[in-house]
Amino acid sequence: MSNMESKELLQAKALGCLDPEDDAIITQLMKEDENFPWQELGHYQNLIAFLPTLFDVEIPDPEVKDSVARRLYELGEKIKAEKDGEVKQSTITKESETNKIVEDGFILEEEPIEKVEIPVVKEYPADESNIDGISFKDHGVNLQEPLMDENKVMQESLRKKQQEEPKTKSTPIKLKKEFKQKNVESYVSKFPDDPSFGKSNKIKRGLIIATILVVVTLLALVFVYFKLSSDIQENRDRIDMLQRQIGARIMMENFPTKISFCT
Amino acid sequence: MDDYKSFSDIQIMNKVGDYDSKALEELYDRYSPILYSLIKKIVEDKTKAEEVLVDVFVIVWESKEASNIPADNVYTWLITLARNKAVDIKRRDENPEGMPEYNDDYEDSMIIPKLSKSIDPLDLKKALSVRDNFEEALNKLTDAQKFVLLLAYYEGKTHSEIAKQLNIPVSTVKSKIKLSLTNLKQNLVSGE
Repeated sequence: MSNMESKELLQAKALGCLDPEDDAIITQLMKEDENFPWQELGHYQNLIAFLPTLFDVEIPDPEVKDSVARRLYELGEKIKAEKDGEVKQSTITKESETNKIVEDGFILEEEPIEKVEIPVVKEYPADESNIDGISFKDHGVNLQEPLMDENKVMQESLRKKQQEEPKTKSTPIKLKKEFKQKNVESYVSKFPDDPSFGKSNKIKRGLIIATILVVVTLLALVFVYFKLSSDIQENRDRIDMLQRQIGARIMMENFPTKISFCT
Repeated sequence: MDDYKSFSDIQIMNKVGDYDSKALEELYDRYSPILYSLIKKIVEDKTKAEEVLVDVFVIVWESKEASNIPADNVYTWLITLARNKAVDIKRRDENPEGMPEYNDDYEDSMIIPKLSKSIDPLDLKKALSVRDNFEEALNKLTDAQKFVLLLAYYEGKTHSEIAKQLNIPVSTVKSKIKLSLTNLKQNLVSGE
């Protein structure tokens, strides 16, 4: 649609009577067309807004103002309830995070407990190998033979499982520790006769500790930064909500007895 | 409250944007009569008109657009908002199944007005001061031009709905509306 064609629909756009297809076209043009006739649209919007001045003005009942105040109050309450819900939800999430096992300063994720379903051992009647004329024996099933002690089987399989899998995922950490230890030992073994080695080793250790301390401090700072940011945001939200609530309350308390019409 | 009375519309609106309830009360005192009259004209029912008026002020309270109205033109923004809301209620009453779901997105795109970036400033006082000239300009239109204009504005009918109702081609409706508003504008300018 050209600029000329869009002009054809300006009046209808201002009047609010465009069909959805035409409205979509002109809305698109408003977004994209640099030469969109904004000034003309503004003129028509103002022109149409004169229409209500022609009526004999009616003043709404004073109760309507009460209703506005009540709605704003309810709105504040609703927002408050939603906020409370969000806070509770985040508390639950935090609690679940703290349930992780902390060991040697490392956070280990708790392994989900695997549920092993124990099949129900059916007790078959002593002589029901022929039910309704169908013989289980004919199909290679002997109900008289003692069934395998299934509970024993389950215990055995559980024991094997426990042997196969460690209880926690601490293996990588242990490996890491061992690896570090081995590195130091191999390093030491390279310089067995160097008298200065002990001294430089101490310096290196000091440096490592200092580096770790710096890293830990940085991590703590980052954590504190994010924590403070979230607290500030939360407080801002609360202030916002309180403003709404207080506003609504003040309105409810200040119902005017008269409503003047500005002329 | 006396301070608020001396504030301009846009100052009041900025305070409403900061959730100042006294500012909203002042805005209500200034605009509720004209908005209520317009809404009542559209929905044709006192109780419903009151409900719509309440809805309008709740939208003003909640809307972020309210504190971002271009060119000090709170008047046109509020009038258009009230008209859109009232027409929406009227159309929903007449054809509940034919209307899309009312949600935040719908409200944002269909109810909250999008004023031109280059609109001239206008307030209630100024609008009322040109009332006689505007009435004169409107009376100069032909009956057909007035009729389509009022059908579109108060009934909330679209081009195709007006065409269907009057049993005339859509193109005719489009040209009638265009002509009626162009003439209205010219009549107003020449009469001032």
